[in-house]
Amino acid sequence: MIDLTENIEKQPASTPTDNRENVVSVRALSKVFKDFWGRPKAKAVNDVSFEIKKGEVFGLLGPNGSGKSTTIKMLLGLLNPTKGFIEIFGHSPRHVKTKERIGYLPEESYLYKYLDSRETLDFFGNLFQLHSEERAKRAEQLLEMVGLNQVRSRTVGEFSKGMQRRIGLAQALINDPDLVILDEPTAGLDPIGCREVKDLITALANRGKTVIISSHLLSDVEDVCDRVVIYYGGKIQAMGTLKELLTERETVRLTLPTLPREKMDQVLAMIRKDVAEDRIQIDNPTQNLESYFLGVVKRARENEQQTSGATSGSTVAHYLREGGEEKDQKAKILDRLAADLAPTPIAELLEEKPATTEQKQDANLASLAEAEAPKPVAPVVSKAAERKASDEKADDKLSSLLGGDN
Amino acid sequence: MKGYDALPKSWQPVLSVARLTFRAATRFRVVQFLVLLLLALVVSLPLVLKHDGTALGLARIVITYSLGSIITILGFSTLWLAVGNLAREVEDGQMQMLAVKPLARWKILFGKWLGIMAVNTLLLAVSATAVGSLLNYRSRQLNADERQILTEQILTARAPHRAPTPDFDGMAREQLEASVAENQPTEFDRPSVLAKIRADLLARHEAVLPQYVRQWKIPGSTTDRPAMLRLKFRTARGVHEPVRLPTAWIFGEINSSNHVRLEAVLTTDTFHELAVPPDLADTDGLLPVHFVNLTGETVVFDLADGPELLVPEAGFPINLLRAFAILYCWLGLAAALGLAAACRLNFNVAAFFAVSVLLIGTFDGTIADVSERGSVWNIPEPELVTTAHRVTDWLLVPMIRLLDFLLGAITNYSPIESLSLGRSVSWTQVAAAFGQCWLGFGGLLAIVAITAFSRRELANPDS
Ligand SMILES: Nc1ncnc2c1ncn2[C@@H]1O[C@H](COP(=O)(O)OP(=O)(O)O)[C@@H](O)[C@H]1O
Ligand SMILES: [Mg+2]
Repeated sequence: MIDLTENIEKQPASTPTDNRENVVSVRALSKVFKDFWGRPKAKAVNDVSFEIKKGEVFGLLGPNGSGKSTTIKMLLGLLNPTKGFIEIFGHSPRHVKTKERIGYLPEESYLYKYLDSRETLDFFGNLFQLHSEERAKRAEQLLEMVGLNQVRSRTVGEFSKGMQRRIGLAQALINDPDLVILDEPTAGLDPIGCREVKDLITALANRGKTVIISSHLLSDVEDVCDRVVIYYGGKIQAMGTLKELLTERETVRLTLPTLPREKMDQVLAMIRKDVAEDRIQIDNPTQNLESYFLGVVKRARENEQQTSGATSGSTVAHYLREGGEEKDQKAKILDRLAADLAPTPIAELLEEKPATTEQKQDANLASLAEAEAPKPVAPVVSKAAERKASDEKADDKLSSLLGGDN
Repeated sequence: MKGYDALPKSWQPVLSVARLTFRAATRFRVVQFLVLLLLALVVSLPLVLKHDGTALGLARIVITYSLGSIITILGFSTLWLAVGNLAREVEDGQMQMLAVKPLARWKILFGKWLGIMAVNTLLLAVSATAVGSLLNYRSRQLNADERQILTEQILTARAPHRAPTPDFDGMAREQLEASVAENQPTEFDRPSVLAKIRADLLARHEAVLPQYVRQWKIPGSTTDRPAMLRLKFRTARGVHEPVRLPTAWIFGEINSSNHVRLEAVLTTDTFHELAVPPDLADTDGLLPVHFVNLTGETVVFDLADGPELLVPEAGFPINLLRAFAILYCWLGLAAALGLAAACRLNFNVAAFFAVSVLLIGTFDGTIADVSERGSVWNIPEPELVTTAHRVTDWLLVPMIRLLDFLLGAITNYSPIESLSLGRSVSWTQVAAAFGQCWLGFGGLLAIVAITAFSRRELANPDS
């Protein structure tokens, strides 16, 4: 695992030559929600600083209630910071003219239910003072892009959540913004929709646009983001490029086509001469952000309990109890983590001190098995935990990894 | 819509917010419902109203009640629309989408106000057309004589003219000075003596003793067509039963040959209109009006009740238009009030607040009484007044006086009575109403609303 502080400190050093225009600067930003009497109710954002350069795809990652949306709303001038400094394109978030360059998709669909999709886009186009022909052209293309050109005459109120999400995305792009802020863009979208959103983000980035996306879905962020911050309890717990965050410097990973069994044994035998058995890890390349993320959040949670009372736990827990939708498995893990549930296999796993290689292997193998034979969401990690209990040997795992035939 | 392309670009966002607001009202069938309600009301009122049986009486009461109910209904609907539209949009989150677009927050508010006023323009146009057509239709059902009376006395626009009121205060002071100079009193209560002298002067001015003649010189007489003299009088007996008295009038200068005599038996405590032929003005352009008291009674013309010379200056449609312009002005204020309330408060509180303000408006009679009396209590004996009474008065009376002032400033221009009397609602009145309601109160409300709304955080606690 990587040292957190080391990473945060490394961040400025790693981009000294980056003299691209600063699109967003945030310094020492805090937001405390107060109740009617002015008493602090929730510290949603706590001393956050970051900068976003032109052309970057920037991810805000964190469990529910960690302050992502609050940060975004402050960037947009919807919330006033309690403390701190924000600049967008060199102006305050309330500067009206700057807003011509921003597109925003809120985390929920706040649309006018009595308008149809074309009228919705036309309305927002008018707010940007677009000429009628330009509005019509863009509306047409956007509806095409989000796959709603078949249903353009139905009012938005009749749309499903995913369809509303799509129209929300379309309106965020009507002004061809230089900065696109997407708050949980894939929430409520079907898998194809998610893919399309990610492709869209990549396309925008290729056109030199700056994109901020907030998400609790790790796959969203990992696929498209250049740089991420990880929030927990309103604080930045980690920040950097994905590469910086995920690289383990004291280990090396060899990635090569699958070898026949005896070749593999030879290679391993050579390595075992110099390295202790328990330091060797064998797996197929797989997503690593997840485990990294889980580690970060776990540590943050432990710290939080020692220092101050948790601020946002209850919000998240409530949300979790309601969540019965077709959610990504990863999202579920993340949610449960934040929910602070009674011990479950997941919790057990996380309670372990530093994850041993064996467990990691277990987990990875399990997820591999999942990937090969896609099954509904039988909890990945609990399977891993079962296996751990059965105490299988590394060789057995290896054989299952390479396929039984050889 | 292509329409925006023709306009200056900076209007486009504001107008599209206005259009959206209008559209919200039509899509939720508010407008359609209100149109039906108003039409039903205008048509059905004459059927249910009690009146004195004359065509004139019916027309008068129809105008009074239909305008009264139109402004009440539209007042409430405007407040509701304003509060609902803005508060809902803030609470349901659409405002978060609007506020991140390149239009200043005051433009959002202004756009909404325009949208609501577009709804009101439509509704008032429908109402005015309905009232106008109904009166027109009714007058055509009448016989020629009745129709002429109606056309002369109600379906017209007549500018009112009065003889100037003497400066009673100045006269009272002069008399007092003269008396003091003559009698050299050592000590006296100056204000009460002044008030007594003034009351005495007023009584002499208003009362006409038996066998006496009273003269008024009224400006604004006509040369081409007859004008009407509107008046009311009573006897000094203090009897409440109206009685019929024979009266004699001379219009024009008595000494010249150019005058007209008129005799009529008129009821006391009732307004009458007497036709005054044209071309009777004196060399100063003033019309001399004489009342000859041939009865055995003292007759009193209360200062407030005229007489008043009503000179036709325009047709009824114009007058109706001007009357509705003032109603429109009031509705503009209601819309601003509703929006201002919703800028800061949530829907429930804002709606409650706005409706209370309207209700307070309906108590203007009580408010006027209290502020004139200077006390919320009505205690006849001074020795019965306790500290508790004084404290409540000290707290409440200034507030009520302020309310009275505000209400007065708005309702001063009430066009309803004028319209029902065939009296002109002048362009000056219309301009003054707009100046006071929109530039004055409206401006203040706008400042409050814009300040509150610009500072407001537009985010809900989500999920
Ligand atoms: N308008 C608000 N009033 C009070 N508390 C709020 C409000 N908005 C957010 N919060 C609280 O602030 C914290 C962060 O919320 P949010 O930024 O929405 O989280 P995220 O977007 O990361 O899920 C939560 O504890 C939430 O309850
Ligand atoms: Mg959020």
